[in-house]
Amino acid sequence: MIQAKNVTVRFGGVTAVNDVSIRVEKGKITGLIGPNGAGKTTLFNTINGVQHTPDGHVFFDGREITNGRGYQLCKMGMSRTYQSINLFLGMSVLDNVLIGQHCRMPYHFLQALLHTPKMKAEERKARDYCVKCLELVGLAGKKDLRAGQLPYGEQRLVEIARAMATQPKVLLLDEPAAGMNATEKVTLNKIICDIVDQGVTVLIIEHDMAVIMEISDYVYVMDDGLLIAEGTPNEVQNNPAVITAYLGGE
Amino acid sequence: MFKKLTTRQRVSYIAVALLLIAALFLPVFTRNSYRMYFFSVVGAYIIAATGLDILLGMSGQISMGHVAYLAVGGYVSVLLSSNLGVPVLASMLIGAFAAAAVGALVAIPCAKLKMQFLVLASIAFSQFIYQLICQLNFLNPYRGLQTKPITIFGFNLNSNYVYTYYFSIFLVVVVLILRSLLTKSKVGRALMAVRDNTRSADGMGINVRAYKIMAFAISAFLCGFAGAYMAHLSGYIVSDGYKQALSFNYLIMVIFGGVNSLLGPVIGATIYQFINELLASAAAWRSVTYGIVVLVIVGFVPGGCVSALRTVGDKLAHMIDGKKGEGGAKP
Repeated sequence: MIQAKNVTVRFGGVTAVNDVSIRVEKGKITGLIGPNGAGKTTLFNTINGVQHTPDGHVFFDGREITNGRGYQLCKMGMSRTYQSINLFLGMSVLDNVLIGQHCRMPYHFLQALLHTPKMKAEERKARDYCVKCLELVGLAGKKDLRAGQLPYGEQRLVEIARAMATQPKVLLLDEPAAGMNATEKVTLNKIICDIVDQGVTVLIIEHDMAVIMEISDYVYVMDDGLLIAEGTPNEVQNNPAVITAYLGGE
Repeated sequence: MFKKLTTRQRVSYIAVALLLIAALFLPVFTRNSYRMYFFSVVGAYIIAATGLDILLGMSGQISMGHVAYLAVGGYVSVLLSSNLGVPVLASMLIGAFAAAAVGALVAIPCAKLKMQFLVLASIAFSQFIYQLICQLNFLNPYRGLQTKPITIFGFNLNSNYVYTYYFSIFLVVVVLILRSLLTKSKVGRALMAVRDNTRSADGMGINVRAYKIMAFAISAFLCGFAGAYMAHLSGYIVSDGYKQALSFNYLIMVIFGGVNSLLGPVIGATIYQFINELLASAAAWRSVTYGIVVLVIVGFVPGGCVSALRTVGDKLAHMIDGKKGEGGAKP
């Protein structure tokens, strides 16, 4: 589904991502773990087109998308959430999710200006779809609240609903469990599994080993810009290089 | 339809309806030609301020040179109607489209700029347009050009400013309705998303650059139209009316009234015009007064007059709901 080949990103003298290649298989949950500053988010941003890479290639669905533009990739079926909350805090929860449907609403400016029947039908369809996305994360009842009024954990879920509203083929989750309590993490795991059941491929960055080991089908481990291990959760957990990276060597 | 609304919404709708009725019946009380002209101009100001608010309040970009678009709309319309015989209403629309095109052209390089650089670029652009007008002799920049009156099917609106007054109301109502429809569509949502968080707007499939340029074009369209309307309303067009510094007036109107609101520009432009008139004999004190009023607004009611009115509306709705509740309790 997604293939990143030999991606390298340098910031001045620092090599944030050093010659990393990963594959995300269709219909699976792929995990990307590593300590702080390992370059996970930078790799994510490169796939998503936010960060450009001078060398290296990214393929999506068999097409090269290296250094693509975020909004075009979204239209192609790649969506993401952010490590820090990036909601439109002044808007209602439903309006936030409707932003996700933006590129799936095929009506143009004049139709928007005049509220033609076609436009109204499209809006209704989008609204229904977005309510479904909110039901998926269990927040349909809070759709009319302002996004800024929700607690942190729920704001993360709204981000997931908004990303799902773009009708993605692949969903990139950047530390979705950050700032969540134990109960919320259990809910999150269930939601991610529901998303995969809908046929969406998931690539997830996570700090929390418990979350990632439980749900991932395949795991990549990064440290200091390098890919240090890959395999099934079990293989990775027993890999000495991973243990060193996480617990400190020598 | 009306039953579905909350008390709060009803309060707003009734207030707007009362305002509109008051505006419609105003000529019953005064048909003084100067006053009618005065209020006709307010209409043009409202349209221009709405245009600026779409850029500032909706899409989160700023311009301190919006007077340039009024100039483009005005001069294009005047030249077309006077020299080529284009009917005035059509020439006003063409002027507006010309301003929109210029706005889009300016936005293509400028939409990338961050706030403070955007301010500088817009000031420079406005100065450029002003200087250009001053250099073009066929525009007779210092003495001004006569403009043709506004006619609808041969009927001269300028013959009595009561007519232009109603024309102003008609234009303002149309502009506000279209704006509110636009706000409630994917275009309006996308513009606000771009304003609130550019990064995630991009990630969610919104072409940020295109929408920023679109905001400039819509904004310039309305200002261009207002500029053309003003030119034909006053009967002349002169370069003095398009000095860059005059752009601040429109910013003042928007900030007075309240950004990103339908009624903000209406209230802002009206109050602005009243202050302008009250201090007509003390021109030097005008700027001082505006300065003080803007400071007071920014310091105490950052949302402008509209946010103060909203609070009043909230309280009113609360009171009405409270009374209903009491009424229901009594068997």
